Amino acid sequence: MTTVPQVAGAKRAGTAGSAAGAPAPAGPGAGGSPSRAARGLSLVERSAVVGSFVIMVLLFCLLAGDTFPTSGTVKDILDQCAVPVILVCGLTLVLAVGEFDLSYTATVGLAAGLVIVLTAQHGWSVGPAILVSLLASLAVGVIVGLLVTVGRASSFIVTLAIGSAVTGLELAITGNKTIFQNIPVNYADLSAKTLLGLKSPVWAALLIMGAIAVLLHRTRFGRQAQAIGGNPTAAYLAGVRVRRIRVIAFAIVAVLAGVAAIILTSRASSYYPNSSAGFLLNTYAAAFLGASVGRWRGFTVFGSAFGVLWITTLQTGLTQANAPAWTSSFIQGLVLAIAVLVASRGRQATS
Amino acid sequence: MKKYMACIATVVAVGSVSACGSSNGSSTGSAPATAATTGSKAATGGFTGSTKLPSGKVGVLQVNAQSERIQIWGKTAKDALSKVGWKSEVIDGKGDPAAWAQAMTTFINEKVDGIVTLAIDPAAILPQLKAAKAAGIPVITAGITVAGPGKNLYAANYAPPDGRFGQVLADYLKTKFPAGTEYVDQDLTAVSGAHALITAGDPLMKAAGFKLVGTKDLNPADLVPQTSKAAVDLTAGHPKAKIMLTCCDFAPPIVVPALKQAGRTGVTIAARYDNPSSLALIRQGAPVVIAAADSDQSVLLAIGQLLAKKASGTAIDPKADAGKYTFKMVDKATVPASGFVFDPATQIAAAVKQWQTEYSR
Repeated sequence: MTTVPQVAGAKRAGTAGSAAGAPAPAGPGAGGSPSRAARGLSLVERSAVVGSFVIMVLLFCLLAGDTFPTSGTVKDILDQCAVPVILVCGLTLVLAVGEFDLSYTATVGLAAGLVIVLTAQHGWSVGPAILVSLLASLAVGVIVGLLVTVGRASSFIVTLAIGSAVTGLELAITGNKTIFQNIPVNYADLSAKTLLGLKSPVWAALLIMGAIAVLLHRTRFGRQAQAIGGNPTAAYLAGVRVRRIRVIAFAIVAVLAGVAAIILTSRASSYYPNSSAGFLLNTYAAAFLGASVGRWRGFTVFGSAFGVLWITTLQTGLTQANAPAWTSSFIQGLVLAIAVLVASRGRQATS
Repeated sequence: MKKYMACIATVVAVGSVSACGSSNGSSTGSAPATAATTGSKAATGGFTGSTKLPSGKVGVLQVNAQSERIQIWGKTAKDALSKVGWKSEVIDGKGDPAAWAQAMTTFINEKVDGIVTLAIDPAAILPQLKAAKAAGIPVITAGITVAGPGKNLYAANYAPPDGRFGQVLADYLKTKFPAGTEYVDQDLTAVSGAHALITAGDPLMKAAGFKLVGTKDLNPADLVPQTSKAAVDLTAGHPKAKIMLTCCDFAPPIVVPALKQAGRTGVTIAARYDNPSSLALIRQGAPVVIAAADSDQSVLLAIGQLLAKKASGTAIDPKADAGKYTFKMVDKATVPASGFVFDPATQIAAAVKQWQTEYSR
């Protein structure tokens, strides 16, 4: 099986270790008293991503003072974060169990195609169409999970392969065509509803983020998942049902991909073929960026969601400030590289 | 048992009659003379010209069939080739240079009589273009203007001038908005033909007193989410902008819902091509205007040149499409109630009619 390189530790100190029955990894202060300089450096490293976010926001406030620090921009950013946050919540679970998933954006495409084809071309009502597309997403996740666990295949390769097959299925179902006619009005309305000034996708993302955060960080399942990510053999020996938890993680990310698909197509009132592929790198970047936030330096739901916020804010600010197109990719890549290095240093310090 | 056999026999008999009926059409029985004429025409397929047209096959390579317009051009090529009795193989390049190269190699190995690429810059398939040339297979690119090294390896590049779309849009917008109006651009500099609309349109807009306040260059690897996000960010950053000049035909169906969701419905989206999705938006009253052109002609010209080369060895004329295209602005007042502005089927019919007078089969 392919396991996620422990760039970010992939576990929270204490919880992961205790769940697996393995000794808890030492915290930053373990192994003797670090020097004041080392503690200072550690603090800088821990706050690098959050600090860069604050600096970035201040800069954009200066560069686009009329438009950036407005409630409209904040709402736009939150709205744009909704879908990637939902995806990154699922991805965080998979990364936490030490696996990769390259298929979830293809699952978004399949679910998007299914729900639109069923409603627009076959006259299904919205509820059953959504249910079928979520079930199809679940099926993809379970298949991936079983292939990775029971089939003992590399998750990197399996999800790449299944992703390709699922994209083929999507194109077969939709005829690889943009579908924009006969979309039910109540389907488009799903993502247009507003509560306390925020659109329904933002609320959906917040709810999902909260639920997955509780699941990963406050339940036995979550502790076991992180134990598997930290050391699957130790977790297995400690009685953790490694296969089952990994299958569940893949199933959850797939279902969340289905939810993301519904939001995407509802917002657009249309289906565009293979339009979700662009989310893959951004969500991975967000998860790894988020992994270097705070003192845990592991994959956390809030860290990943913060990573999404970081990237979306950067893109929005640069667009509003009329920065050249290359700047977004350049800065994003640079900060991600620094974040991974920071996390890697942190791991070395704690190991 | 006998009863079942009788049923089967009856079904077979009815099927046979019905099959005869469909092959002979309405002329069966009642008018022998007409039937003979129709039969003769059917035998020739209506091709009554003096030059014998051998059978052939054309490979058609689409840059990415996700694009509505690329799909339409691919279908136009397939339908037109089928009407002259030629085979076609249309491959979706999926926006992937490796897939383009593989498709080109497949066509070359199949020894097709010609290749038509749709919107693929030559640099991405340079070795394959050289190999096709060495194999004597003409490659024509159609639909959109291409640029870059190796362009001369294409036997021809037929496309409505991309800059002309920008000019037509600018000329129209000047009549609808006052000088001083702020506007934003959505560009795709990675695709020369797409970028040409912006580079032609911007100077005219600025000369008319319009003010360009923001530009977003889209990443071709992440088009759909980026197009949506860029539209929202550009209009948030420049709330006084009244126009979004976009390089690309795929923008209206992505941008209109995104701006509607963001509560910014006062921005006019100016795009190109009479795609069904854009026309549907205009019919629904969305703030979209488009510069349309009979761009399917470029594909049909490419096929016409390949037919002529195969039938009589005529060299491909790289200027065969000069002055051939018609442009038209489409807004809510001029949008047709249904169908296209420039119907591909009508363009195919006109081309086939001409080929019927030139060739026999």
